[in-house]
Amino acid sequence: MDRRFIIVHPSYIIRQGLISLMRQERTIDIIEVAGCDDLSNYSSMQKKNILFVVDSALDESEIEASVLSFRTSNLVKVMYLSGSVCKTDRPEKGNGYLYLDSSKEQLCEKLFEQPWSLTKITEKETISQPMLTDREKDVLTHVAMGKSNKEMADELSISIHTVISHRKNITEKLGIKSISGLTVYAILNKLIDTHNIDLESLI
Amino acid sequence: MELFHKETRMTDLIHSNYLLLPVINRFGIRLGFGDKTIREICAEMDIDMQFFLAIVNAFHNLDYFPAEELRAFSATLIVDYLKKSHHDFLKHRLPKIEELLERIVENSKSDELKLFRTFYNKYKADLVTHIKDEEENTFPYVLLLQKAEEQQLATLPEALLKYSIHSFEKEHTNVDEKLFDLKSIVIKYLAPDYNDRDCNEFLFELFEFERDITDHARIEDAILVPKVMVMEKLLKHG
Repeated sequence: MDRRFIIVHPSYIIRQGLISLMRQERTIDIIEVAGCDDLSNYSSMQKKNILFVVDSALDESEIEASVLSFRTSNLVKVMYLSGSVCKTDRPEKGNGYLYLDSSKEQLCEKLFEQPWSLTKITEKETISQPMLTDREKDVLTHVAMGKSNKEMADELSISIHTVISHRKNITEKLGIKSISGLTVYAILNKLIDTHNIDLESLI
Repeated sequence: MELFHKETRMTDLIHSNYLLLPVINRFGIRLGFGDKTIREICAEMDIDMQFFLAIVNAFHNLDYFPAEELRAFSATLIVDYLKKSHHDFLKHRLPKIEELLERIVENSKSDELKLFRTFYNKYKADLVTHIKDEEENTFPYVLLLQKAEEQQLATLPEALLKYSIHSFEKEHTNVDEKLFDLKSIVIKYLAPDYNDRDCNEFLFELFEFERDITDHARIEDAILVPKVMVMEKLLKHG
């Protein structure tokens, strides 16, 4: 699970304090910025679980506007850092509050024990992929021989849609994207008879 | 991850991330800079300090990509850096990879490794074509556009009117795919008949090269192309 913590707070001391706390417990990637304006420099991040720790004095709609671009390709949670625990009820904001006067244990519990819902991304990473089915091996062999999707559909008596589907599954299972790469794999695993073939032209 | 700033010492930059060595070379900076800061070295060597900082920080920290800031730099500065990177790839990185690959193939009895060499050669051919295309077509076009902007030409030369960045814009993903696959196949499917040390060195070079060229592609796709599109809009459509 690829985690990032992003601290958005104007106070240098508070940023350093949070970083120090986070580093003591875990080795994680931490980004710190003084305000929302600097967040755009990081918006190209993808496929991460991001926890924003944000100054509660900042306007919630301004934060959301800045955080929005991260939400498209990442799992995002936003926690607000506030001075002290209010005795009265606080309206719910983001994914909850952190308090400056909490103990270390309380802070760590909130920062690290936040449950992240299992997503497609993390599921894919933990399940080991099964081997290719016979049908997939057929398709792979044809791809390696340089056949087009249409040619394969005709020769294997299946629809082009099915061919594309098989190709997608093959790429996912093997982790190989290019046709040349698939050809090399096919040769290594003896799916193609290489005796009479010129390798240069094939790959 | 920390960001480097103008008072960061060059030595600390390298200690933080030695992979930056080829990157600073592209600016003409060589070792032996003592305790000089980034600010001092850039002043001494007449290097645009903000550009240098943006480039090294983007390379060092994969999450950090100040797109808007980078697009504000002159096209000449960006193209010059990209050209130097091309030179580095073709004259240093690729030859080194080939040298290691040859060593592996020579020391192995199986035909399998020759397969990797064929695959690598296909990748290299694609990459060289791509680079040549950029240097002979895309970059001159961009520089011409920049000149036209600076001189505030009322009428644009024909060369500029005929083309747009879309004529040259090539997807980097296809070229990168083969490199990724080469790495994957070597790691996952290499048969036992190989030399550990040689293959590890080969993979080190591939990983470092991949990091470099991914960063390079990011600059071309997310900085140069959008910047040129804006320039085109201003110049060609008033």
